[in-house]
Amino acid sequence: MNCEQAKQLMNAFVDNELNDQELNKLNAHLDSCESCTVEFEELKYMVLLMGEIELKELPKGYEEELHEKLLLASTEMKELELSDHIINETNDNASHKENDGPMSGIVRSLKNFKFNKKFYTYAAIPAVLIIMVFATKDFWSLSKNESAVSDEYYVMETTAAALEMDQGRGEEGADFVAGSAPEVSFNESMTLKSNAVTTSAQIPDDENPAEEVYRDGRMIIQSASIQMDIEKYDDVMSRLKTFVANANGYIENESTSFKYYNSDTDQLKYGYVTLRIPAEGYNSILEQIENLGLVTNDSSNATDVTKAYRDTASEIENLKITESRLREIMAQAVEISDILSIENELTRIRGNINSYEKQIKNWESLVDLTTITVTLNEVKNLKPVVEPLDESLWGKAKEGFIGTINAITHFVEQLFIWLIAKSPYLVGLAIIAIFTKLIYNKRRKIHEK
Amino acid sequence: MESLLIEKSVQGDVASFEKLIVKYNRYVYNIAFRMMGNEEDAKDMSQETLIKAFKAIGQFKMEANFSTWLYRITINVCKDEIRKRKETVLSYDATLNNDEGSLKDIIQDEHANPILIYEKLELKEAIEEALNKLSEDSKSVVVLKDLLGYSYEEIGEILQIPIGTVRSRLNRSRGALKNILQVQLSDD
Repeated sequence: MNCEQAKQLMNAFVDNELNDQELNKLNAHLDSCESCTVEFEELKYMVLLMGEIELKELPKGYEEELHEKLLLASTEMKELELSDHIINETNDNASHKENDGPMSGIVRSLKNFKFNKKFYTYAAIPAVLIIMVFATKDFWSLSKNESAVSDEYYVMETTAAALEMDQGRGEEGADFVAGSAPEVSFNESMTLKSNAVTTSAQIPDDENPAEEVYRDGRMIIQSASIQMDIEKYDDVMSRLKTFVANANGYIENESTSFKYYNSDTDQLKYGYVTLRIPAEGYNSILEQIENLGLVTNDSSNATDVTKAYRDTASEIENLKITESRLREIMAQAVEISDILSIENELTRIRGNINSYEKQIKNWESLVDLTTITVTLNEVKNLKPVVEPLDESLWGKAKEGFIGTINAITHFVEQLFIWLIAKSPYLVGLAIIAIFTKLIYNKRRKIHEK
Repeated sequence: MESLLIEKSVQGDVASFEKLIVKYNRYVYNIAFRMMGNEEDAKDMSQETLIKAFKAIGQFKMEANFSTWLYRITINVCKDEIRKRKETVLSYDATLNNDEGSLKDIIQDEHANPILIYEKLELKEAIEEALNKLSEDSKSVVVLKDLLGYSYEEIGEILQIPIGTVRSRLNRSRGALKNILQVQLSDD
């Protein structure tokens, strides 16, 4: 082993990435090489000290200042937003209040529970029952939310990621977490199809990778994000997919879920799709999408990377010149140590060139394919409608009643199970209670005497 | 919890976003501090980062790690700023990239004192000073690994480079840092 390799092992050692065999090798080298031993101690010490450098505290007033700036940013962003967005927020608030209801009820009844000691025995039984019913109901709905999924909630996600163009024709992963079969397979075939279109478009690029041709003209990365309320989620989604297929784009990411986990008969959905659309079709597809429903938020962004692109391109050229120079030197080098250090330098430069080229490719692909994120929010009606009162009122009352009955039966069942299950404990407790009672009585009698 | 806050932040809710970043802003500030080298710039850059993140949070993909995403923006914002400054004040006689790849790296200075002989406190200060002299790329790996303790994988994700590159860059940067340190200490 030479000192250069030993240095690599030292670094690996410091990062706890060394296996026993490598450690032995390193130790063997250190035994024979004094300069490396010093080097090793220095490295360990330096890294140790760096680990001890403490994090800086945030300066005074940092968060306040940030808050101001964020507010400013958010008003800037909101100028783009349409006023209809409010509907969503009020919905959110309403659901919060609902959640608060039973909980605060429990707290209040608990307080009463403490104060009215006289009515203790009478009030206790119904109060406990009520609390239990509430609590169990709450608890069940909570646990339902957490484990969710089974019957009321599903997520389907298809990812067709062709992010790294140079790494191959798009790696695609398709995740299905439950879901209705026909819909999903439809989605998949759509994405596959559109993916196939884009990959076939890339092939010319891949065929001559050796020749590095940089692009002229402006390099502008366009992206847009649209949030909209829509009426029929599935219809809109499939129309969206036809648009994408027509524009020769593909879907990079898609996710759909039900808006509410339970207590919702409308089964409204919520989801987002990330589209990659060739730059030519960008504007027309934006218009098409916006016609699908009510746009609540629309923002677009164009980043000019021309300068950075050119800089990187010239950087690559420079590095290539250096590389060829180094190769010339390499041809003349005789000493082993020279060759090694030149080789080292060469790998470093190659690494740099590669990462810059990756960056260039990345930019090119971002410029070629614009990114559009569409967030779809299904609503029952785009215009608020007054629901017929009696029907829904009775229906809701009935539902609530059935719900309560179910909760009570559930509770009784659980109580029964609990009683049986815990009976060993209960028997033990009962025995202890009887004993204490007996001792207490005895003492009192002695006392009275 | 986090995904909920992110969703709300996407809608433009400042309060949710602040709740979301409260865990991270100290790290963002510290990364910016190490990249920029002084507190004033660190404050400006970290705030710019967080505002940028707020504006762009719609583009954040849920399957990625939020902190990684945030730190990536931090480092990019700092690098952009450093690049901008270099463009405006470019002098001919300044030595470019004197911390790595120069001859001094390849031919080790055999006569320099080993750093072990210096006082711990003195050395710590010297390290902080030497860190500022590293190039941005070297600085970012050393800061993330040795000061903040992220793993190779996390660093690779933050900087968007393969793990092999993280490893080799880290090796090189530590070597460069040590050389700077030695020169600096023997100058004093």
